[in-house]
Amino acid sequence: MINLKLKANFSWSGPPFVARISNTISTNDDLTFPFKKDELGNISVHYKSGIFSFLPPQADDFEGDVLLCDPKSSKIQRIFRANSNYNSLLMTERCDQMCVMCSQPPRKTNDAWRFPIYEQALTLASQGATICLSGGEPTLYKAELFTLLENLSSSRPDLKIHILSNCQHLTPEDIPRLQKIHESLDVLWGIPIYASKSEIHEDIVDKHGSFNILMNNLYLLASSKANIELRTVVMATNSLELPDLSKFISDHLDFANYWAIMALEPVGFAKANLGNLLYDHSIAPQPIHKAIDIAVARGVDVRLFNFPLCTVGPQYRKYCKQSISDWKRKYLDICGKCTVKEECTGFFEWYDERSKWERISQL
Amino acid sequence: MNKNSTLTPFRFRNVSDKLLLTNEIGKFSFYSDDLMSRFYDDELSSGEIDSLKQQSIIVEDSEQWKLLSLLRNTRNATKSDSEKLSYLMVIPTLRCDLSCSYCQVSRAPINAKGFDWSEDNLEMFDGFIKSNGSNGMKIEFQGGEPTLRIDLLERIIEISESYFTDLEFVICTNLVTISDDLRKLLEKSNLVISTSIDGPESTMTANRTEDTSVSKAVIENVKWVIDNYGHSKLSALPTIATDQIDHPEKVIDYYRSLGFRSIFLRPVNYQGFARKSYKELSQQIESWQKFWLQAMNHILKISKDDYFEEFYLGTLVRSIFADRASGFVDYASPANYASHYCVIDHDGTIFPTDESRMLSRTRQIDLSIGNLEKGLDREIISRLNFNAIHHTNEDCLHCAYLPYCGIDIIDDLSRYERFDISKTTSWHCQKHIFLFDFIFEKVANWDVEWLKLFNSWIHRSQNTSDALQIFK
Repeated sequence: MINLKLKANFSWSGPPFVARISNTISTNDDLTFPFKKDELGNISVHYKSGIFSFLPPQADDFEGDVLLCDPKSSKIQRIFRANSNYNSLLMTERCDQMCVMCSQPPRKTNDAWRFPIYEQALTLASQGATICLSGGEPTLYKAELFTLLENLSSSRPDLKIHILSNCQHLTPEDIPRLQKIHESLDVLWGIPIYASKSEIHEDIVDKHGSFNILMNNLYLLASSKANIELRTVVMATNSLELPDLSKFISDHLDFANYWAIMALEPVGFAKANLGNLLYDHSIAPQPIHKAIDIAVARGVDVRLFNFPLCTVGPQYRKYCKQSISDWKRKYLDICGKCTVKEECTGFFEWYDERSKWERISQL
Repeated sequence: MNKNSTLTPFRFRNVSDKLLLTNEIGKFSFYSDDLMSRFYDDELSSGEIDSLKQQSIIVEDSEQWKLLSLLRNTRNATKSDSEKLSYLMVIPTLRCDLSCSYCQVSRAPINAKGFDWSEDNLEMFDGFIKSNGSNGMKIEFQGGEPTLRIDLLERIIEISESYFTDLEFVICTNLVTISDDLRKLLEKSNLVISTSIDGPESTMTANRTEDTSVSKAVIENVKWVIDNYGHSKLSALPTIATDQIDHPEKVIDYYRSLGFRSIFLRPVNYQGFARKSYKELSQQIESWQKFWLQAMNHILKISKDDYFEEFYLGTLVRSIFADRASGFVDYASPANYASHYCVIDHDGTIFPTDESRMLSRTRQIDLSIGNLEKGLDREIISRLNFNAIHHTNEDCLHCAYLPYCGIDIIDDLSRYERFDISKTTSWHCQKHIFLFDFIFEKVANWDVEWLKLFNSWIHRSQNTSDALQIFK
């Protein structure tokens, strides 16, 4: 686990700000600052308002990192690590759905400060970086979000933006604006769908009527030439529906770029509801295998996210992707001698006895 | 049905003791056979209403996406994506060194003059593919026996290579001889062989070679190609004539003994020499159906242990359940003749399909759509295409199998000398209704043994998860 939130000492007090720390990047922007590392490992930065310093809990390279700094709470957050492909921004913690397995349970946060700060941070991201905008539900702040995307499409058209959204808040009026954004900025919309039967889907997201809104809005979104990733977390409550969902996606949502079948992340609500939600695909992989077979036969690009290679049948391993973010990825003792560890996504940091899958083995 | 919903078009047909309903894009479901009377009396069960909703036949006002999905899929199923050719059949010579009893093209004798591509043809071919070719090209050499003119094949390949990098070549040869020149061509990795194997030596002699030693040589050559290049280098087709019609197991087992995993069972066409030598056989659908059913039962038995496929039924199964275009121009609807495929005859005349070349050769009707000199005649092509759309044909319009079926006006012309016949009495219709009924009966009765076999064809492998939900 890589800690992204660190304690820091500030020589002054004031509002939150964004800073990039680098000793090699030559730039005219007033947001990049050199840093020093002392013999104890303390990193100190001469910011324009004063000095701040922090002690990294583990050795790592900080060169080029973008930090979100809050003098009032004496904390910094490494929002973009320059040496990582897994960087994301939490746009809000508010959400209109209450998914049973939510890894980031919704809260009524005050989010007004985020957008201007995040926009600054995004202009500092590494060339060609992929940045995930997650939540909460980012489109609850649709006006701010679209403006941010429009600004990025002129200031940083090299970035790849991955937005995780429940797709409940689009209207036909949004489409011309979105289409323009999609023409100049690489945006991938990650949209969850949990079952082809509306009752099952709506039970999972705990919002009545959300299924038809989702489907209608997916068609709207697609009409703006959006890139779309469909996301399905596998739980005990929807696992047996996966083959039907696969057929449904091939029938009605074949415009999506791909379909990601995702193993549960045992944190947040998922951790609290593990007893009802955990599905051990390692001993009963059939629904997943069947869903893949149907998808492939019907021309849907299907991928497995968060599935360790040893937990699926040999001919389905090629669909496994390295999807778990580096900072929350771990490997088990048994993985030590595994010959395919390098290609395997591993396990979530929070994977433990309670969320355990029975059949884990060395390949 | 409540007022806040829409009804979309559907078609129905009795299959087994159930009622099959299909919608415009081939989404189907089975109901009890009294559904339609209750449908209009508003006496449907909630289960039936749910099923009709799932089929997008009943669409609630809050489900606009279902209408969009119908529109989108309808458009995808009927659009012709290009007017550029990507697949050519080329006849470098009509001469052949065999004289098969069922020859569909009425081949020319081996020493005849005036049946080979001329120098002028080669030059015009260059200009033709330059202006009509798409990004890549597949070229199939048919005949006659194309290997009689390897020199022409080489030059056609050379011309194609100057325009396309994405190229595939197929030589349809009787494999009576493999010359050194042919051996050299076989070294090309993008070139494969297609040949005719009707069965063991005795069948080959009766149908094709009239000479045991020639049959022996052909079979030796088939084995030589397989041994040296593997099965992917060679595909084979049988033609089923009188000698074989009572014994489908024989030809299937022979194919398996050669290591093939698939067979394309084709009846004698009602074309060329076959019109005379097999006048009755080529018209009798009953004897063909009996043969075919016997063959299918044999394949089912085989597939307990090994993968084996009947190619045509497999193609239909894939196109119904796995959404893969069949690629047969004489099966699609709209047929879109000459939109991506055409046939260039030995004299430079261009035809929409190989069968239309045969009909023109026997002077039944001139179906040429242009020539290398003047190019494609778009007016004739559109006149043909106008009549090759089943969606607007009064006999096809109400058929539950329309979403899966095609139209074959060339076969109609061949058999009935016109295509404005009642389609329901045509060979094409009877053959396909029979096949579709066969497939949908297995689904209606949820015949797991058969569905597993179909599923293996969809995946072209027995190593699958048996995801039979694909048949729902």
